[in-house]
Amino acid sequence: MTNSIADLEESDCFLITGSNTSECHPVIADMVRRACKRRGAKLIVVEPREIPLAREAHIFLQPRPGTDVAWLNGMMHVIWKERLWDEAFVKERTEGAEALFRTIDRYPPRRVEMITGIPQDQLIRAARMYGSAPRSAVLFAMGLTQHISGTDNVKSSANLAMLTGNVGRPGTGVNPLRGQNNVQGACDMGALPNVFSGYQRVSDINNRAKFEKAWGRLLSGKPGLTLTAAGEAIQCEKIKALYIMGENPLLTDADLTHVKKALARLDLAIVQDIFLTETARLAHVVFPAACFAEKEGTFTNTDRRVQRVRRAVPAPGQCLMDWEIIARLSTAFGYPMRYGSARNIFSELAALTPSYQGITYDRLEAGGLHWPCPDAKHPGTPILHQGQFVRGKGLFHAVEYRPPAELPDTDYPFTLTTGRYYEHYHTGTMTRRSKGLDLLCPQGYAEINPEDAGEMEVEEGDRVVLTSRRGRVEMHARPNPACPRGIIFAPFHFHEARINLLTNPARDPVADTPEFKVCAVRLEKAAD
Amino acid sequence: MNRFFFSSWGRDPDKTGPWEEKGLLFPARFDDDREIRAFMGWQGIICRDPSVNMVDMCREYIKRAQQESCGQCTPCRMGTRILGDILERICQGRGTGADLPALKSLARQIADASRCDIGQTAPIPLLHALRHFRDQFEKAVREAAPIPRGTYLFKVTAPCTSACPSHLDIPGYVEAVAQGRYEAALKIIRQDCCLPGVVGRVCVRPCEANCRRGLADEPIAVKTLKRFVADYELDHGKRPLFPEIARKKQRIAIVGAGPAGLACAYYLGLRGYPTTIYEALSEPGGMAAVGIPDYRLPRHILRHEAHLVERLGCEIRYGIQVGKDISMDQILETGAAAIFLASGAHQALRMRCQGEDAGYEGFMTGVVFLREAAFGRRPLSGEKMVVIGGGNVAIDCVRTAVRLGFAEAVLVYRRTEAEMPADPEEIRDAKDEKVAFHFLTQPIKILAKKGKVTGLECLRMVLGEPDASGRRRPVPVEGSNFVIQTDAVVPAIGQACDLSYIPPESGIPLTRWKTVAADPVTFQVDGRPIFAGGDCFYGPLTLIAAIASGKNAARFMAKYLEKGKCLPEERDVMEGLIQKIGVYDPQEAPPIIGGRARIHPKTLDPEMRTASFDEVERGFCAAEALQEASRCLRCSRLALAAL
Amino acid sequence: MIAITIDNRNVLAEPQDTILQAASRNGIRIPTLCYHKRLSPIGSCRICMVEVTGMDKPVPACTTPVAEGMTVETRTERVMELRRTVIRMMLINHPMECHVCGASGSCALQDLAYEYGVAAHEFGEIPVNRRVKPYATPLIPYDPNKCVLCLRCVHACQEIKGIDALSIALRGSLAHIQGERSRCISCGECWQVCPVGALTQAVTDPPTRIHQMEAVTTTCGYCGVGCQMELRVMDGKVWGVTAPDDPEGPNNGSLCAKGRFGFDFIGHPDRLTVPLIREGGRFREASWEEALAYAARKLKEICASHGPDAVMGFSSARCTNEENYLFQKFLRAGVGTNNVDHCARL
Repeated sequence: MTNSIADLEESDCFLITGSNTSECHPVIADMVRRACKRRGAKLIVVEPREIPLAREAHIFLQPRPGTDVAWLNGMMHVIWKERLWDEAFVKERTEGAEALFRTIDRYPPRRVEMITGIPQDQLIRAARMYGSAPRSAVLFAMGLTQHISGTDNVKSSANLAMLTGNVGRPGTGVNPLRGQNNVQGACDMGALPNVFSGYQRVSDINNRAKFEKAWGRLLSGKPGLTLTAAGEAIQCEKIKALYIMGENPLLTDADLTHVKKALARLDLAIVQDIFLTETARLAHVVFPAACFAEKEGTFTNTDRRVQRVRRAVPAPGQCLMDWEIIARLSTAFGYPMRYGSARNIFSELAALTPSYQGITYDRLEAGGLHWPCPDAKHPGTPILHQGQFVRGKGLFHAVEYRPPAELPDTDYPFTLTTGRYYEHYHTGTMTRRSKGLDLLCPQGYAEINPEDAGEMEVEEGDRVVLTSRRGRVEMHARPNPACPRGIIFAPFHFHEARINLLTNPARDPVADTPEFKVCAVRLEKAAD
Repeated sequence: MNRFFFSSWGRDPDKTGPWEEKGLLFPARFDDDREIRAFMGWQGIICRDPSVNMVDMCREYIKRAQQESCGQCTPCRMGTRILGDILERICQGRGTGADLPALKSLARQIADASRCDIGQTAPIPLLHALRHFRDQFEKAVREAAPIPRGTYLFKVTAPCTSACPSHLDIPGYVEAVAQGRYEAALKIIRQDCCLPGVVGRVCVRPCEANCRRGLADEPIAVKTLKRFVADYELDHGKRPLFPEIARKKQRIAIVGAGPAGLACAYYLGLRGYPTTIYEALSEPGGMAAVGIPDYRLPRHILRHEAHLVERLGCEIRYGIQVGKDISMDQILETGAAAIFLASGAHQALRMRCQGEDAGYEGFMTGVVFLREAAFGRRPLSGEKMVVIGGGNVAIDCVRTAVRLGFAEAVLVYRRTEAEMPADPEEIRDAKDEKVAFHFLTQPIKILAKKGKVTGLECLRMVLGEPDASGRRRPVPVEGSNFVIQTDAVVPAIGQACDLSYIPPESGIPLTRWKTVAADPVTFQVDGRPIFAGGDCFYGPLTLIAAIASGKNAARFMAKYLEKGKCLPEERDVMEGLIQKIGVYDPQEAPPIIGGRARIHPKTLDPEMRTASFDEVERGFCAAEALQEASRCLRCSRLALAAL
Repeated sequence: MIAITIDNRNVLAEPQDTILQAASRNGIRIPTLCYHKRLSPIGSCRICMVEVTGMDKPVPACTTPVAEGMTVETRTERVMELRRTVIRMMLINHPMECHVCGASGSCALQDLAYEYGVAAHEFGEIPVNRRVKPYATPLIPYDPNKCVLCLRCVHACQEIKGIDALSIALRGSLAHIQGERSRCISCGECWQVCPVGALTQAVTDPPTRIHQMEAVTTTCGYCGVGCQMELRVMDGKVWGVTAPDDPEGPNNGSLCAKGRFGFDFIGHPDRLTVPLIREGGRFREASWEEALAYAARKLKEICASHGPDAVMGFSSARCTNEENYLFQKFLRAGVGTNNVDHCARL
């Protein structure tokens, strides 16, 4: 997030898109609801499905899945033509505006309606609402990024924020809501193929030199493979060994059949987890790990706030904290690691990571700190890009609409979009083992528009089979008017119905994120 | 009729003070058949019949209080229950000597500690009874015999509610706003007012003038809170959910789609009756549409709320003038089971000024001027315009003139600003928009050249003795004649009804003020299936009164259609009785520490305003609404009459 | 700042203070029950009534604003007796079973009754509401007999969550809290703010006094909001989750259903407890030394025969920063490859 969560309390207008906030980030949804109901902030929701927050929105737009660039360009078109844009901001703090104008000029509301299905007058109202509010914030999540055009979508929303000067001030910004507790931290720490911690590129010789000195080994400058490219690399035997810590790709990756085949080809699969997950079952060796309540450390949340994790209870059996396991494996492997405590690891990483340099465990006792926090006196940075952008001037990236990789056709007439339920988390390994949550929500449904359901003679609770070009899944169906016609929604929490057997591994060319939010499927009633 | 009379109304039960016989204001009879034997309420007891058993009456009063207790504070919720149980025991003949001091101390503590006026006032008549009718309580305990239950009528009201012609449950909806339940608030409002967005903008708000908080600091902004919830619904694209009602066969015809006609159709619709409204204009809203300019009441609000009425089974036939395009008889022939007359007061009063009938170019009555402007025209040309009058219509005319591009807009009024009937906020806004005011000025002659207005000859006035309205009468100063040069003259000194569409042979009685003569409670004309409301019944009055008449007429029409006749209900009579004694006491010092100022809605910058008819007042944002609503003292009052 | 007098002490208050705020700012305690610092003043319990010179009646300290020169008395005989009366009223119908109540020891009513010396049922018992009613969520049973209608739950649901699933049903002594299942999100905010034992947690078995347990403050392990939470711990087990009233935290004392009720997995019997090695198509238990040696040896073999880039690591967005750092360090410096990634894209 460019801004902090607390900052949302000051927004005058929220544009929420590609985020089912009340189900996936409930506490943030509370803030949005509170801001609207108790302060009078405006809320625009743009979602193919009628998510719960849409019912409280001033404006609710329902675009066809995968058409985000088109409506974002359309909103900018209106803002530009009606002179609601922030000329001073664009002039002083950005570059590339001319190219953007040339692009958005081609997205008048009429054309946008044809692409997205959003009525023109609604788009204009939304553009005016966002464009004229003193402080507007964009919130988004995977609904914007899990497309082949994911990077373009994000750039487009950044364009919108910059065009209206909604950057670098409280209550504004472009705010991705990260789905997992420490996904921000994992990125910050360099669990990425191309960067060390703090986004220091491995290809840069100076960075390598710095880390070589600290780590005492020569380091490779060749960026590694991404997780989504790993499957292919295993298939063609480029990857022989996989060390998986706390991941369950057998439920989360697109096109599971393919993933499973790939894993079976490995010479060595090491899985380190708290449960014997679907993935762990395929491992050669399994390490039992401590869970968050059993370890010391830090998480970095979606607004870049580093906060402490504390040990509340002892880990069961012989479980060790993940860092202890890594250190021991590394030592056994011949690269000795001795730390003694998470605090010692943090001191080492903070010294090597400029944005974390000023953070210490002692400081964190008084509460979290937002990075960048470059020195011990620095109060942290809740709002990014104040005064100037990290790169100097904000650069507009004019982007054009590209249709999704797989559109429905006569064989696969429905668009499947995947997501989460409020009560469950990711692959359900934790939440489905919690009595209360399981009681609230024991199973997943393929949600389908009632009219579509009526035509297919599908009723609540019927078993249906969803088939895509990649696989088939049988699950219960539930007619739900929140789904527009032609769209089926299904959650990926449930191992009984592995929805990612169906999804399309087509990826965004830059971020390598699979297109989980759009794939073509067919729905049939299951044979008895 | 016995001569007994007792009143402790308005006195402190613990102190002996001067007898203020406010109690005498309370009527002795309920209706033709029944006397009011005693009355209990928030300020004490009035009794005209010594045989009334005060112990039983207290039991009933406290029982009712317990049933009304909202449950939101401990003393009232549980305390009135304990009081009720003790009184019940005494009345069953199982009282003890310890009960009376227990009642007294508990009653006092409940009055001291309760959150709102139900708990603060419910114990008051009991405390009065324990002091002034102690012998009855002692006897009940001593004799230990069951006391038979009397016959009582009960009513809940509040100063604001009572002052409102449509008796909205104002404490109820203000509290709902304070709790953030905006939709619930709107639902409460719609029970008694089907045009919340309209009334929330232009109501003359008698409720605020009767707000008890005003005695501590400033009244609650009731009007703006109403507007807030109406706007909230509209802005969020939500629509009210009307219950599914079985449509009745009988259709009812309504003359005029003004506030009274729309309200009548709305509340008939809720009862399942389909309606047809005949409207002469091409717009819904009547005077609210063509008499109130858009900068005070944007037309889309009116259209939206009229549209909701249509959803309830109402058909509005625009451009049909009853009496010209269709006659009353023809309406009845179409099969209407009843007619509601709500044709309004669209005819301008004459000002008895020389030249007003000469047909000069540049002369136009305020009613016509506003109507023309409402349809987007600039009916008068020139640079300067003089408006005559001191009411809201005059202010509307002069502020409209500013927006139509008159470089100079002047208002002429024969008394001073203090006597102006117009809303002070309207006067303030007009001044902000650079309207010039000529007070103590009486026009006597319109000057013209070649049939075109050139000026207005006036006399200076001074204020003399108060007249019947209590305002000081303006007296002309001899020989003070002077001329105001002007291009246009617009008188706006009042309206009358045009009832020429009602044929004399219809036998519909008219009053000498040229209004329809109907029952003031049921709005029925002469026992026939004809009802009348709004300005054509009252003469020019307020929008909320028009809505109230439409709402009540709908209730009585339905009753008439179902039962063949309609008489005032007990609650109507009770309301009338309570009004006599007054629910709002301007002398009272409310038991709160004030100092929390009212929130005033923001207004459009005066420079921005005059360029267009954009709405001037902005309404509250949610934070302002919550804060303002939390100032409400919730002055609910319980009234019990023994018959 | 303005000057007021409380209990004969001259103190300074902020102009926008209520009497209660001014008193607490100056270290003067006024007893409360419905007041909660994360909620706007409710004014339902009437425990905080105080006397102000010049006013005929006592006023609630929590909702009454201060004024320059105001003289407040917090412990006059009149208000002390009022408080006693109110406590007596709250105890009408209250089951006198503190020994089997989950709130005992952290119950505001118990503390007040003790402080003001109110014994059981001084007003007698009034038979109402004698039944545990269905509530907005199956995870939180509601006992109307223990409920004092302070309305903290209703306000929390409305003000903090914006959900509005709770309201008062019926009137007078029959009034109780009613929940709307279709709106409720089972976040447990109501349970957290309940000052008595009216709301409990159905998921703790056997029943435990969660509020009295040791609280370990940590960061929630579910979504990316990073809510600060307190794991309530006894005998090496997590029994419940509360949230610290920390206005600086990203969640400001609030949680969702996952954070509040999703803790059973921590000590779940399905947890892995020993290292496993696959042998002949099935797993066998192994010691750490053996499992680590096995994994290290195989990794070394693969590196030797196929080069370090034949090894890849999937790190985890579930693990800590320290662990992610170490993981990539191991792959980059130990193994010698940049093949490291995690599920940020999923």
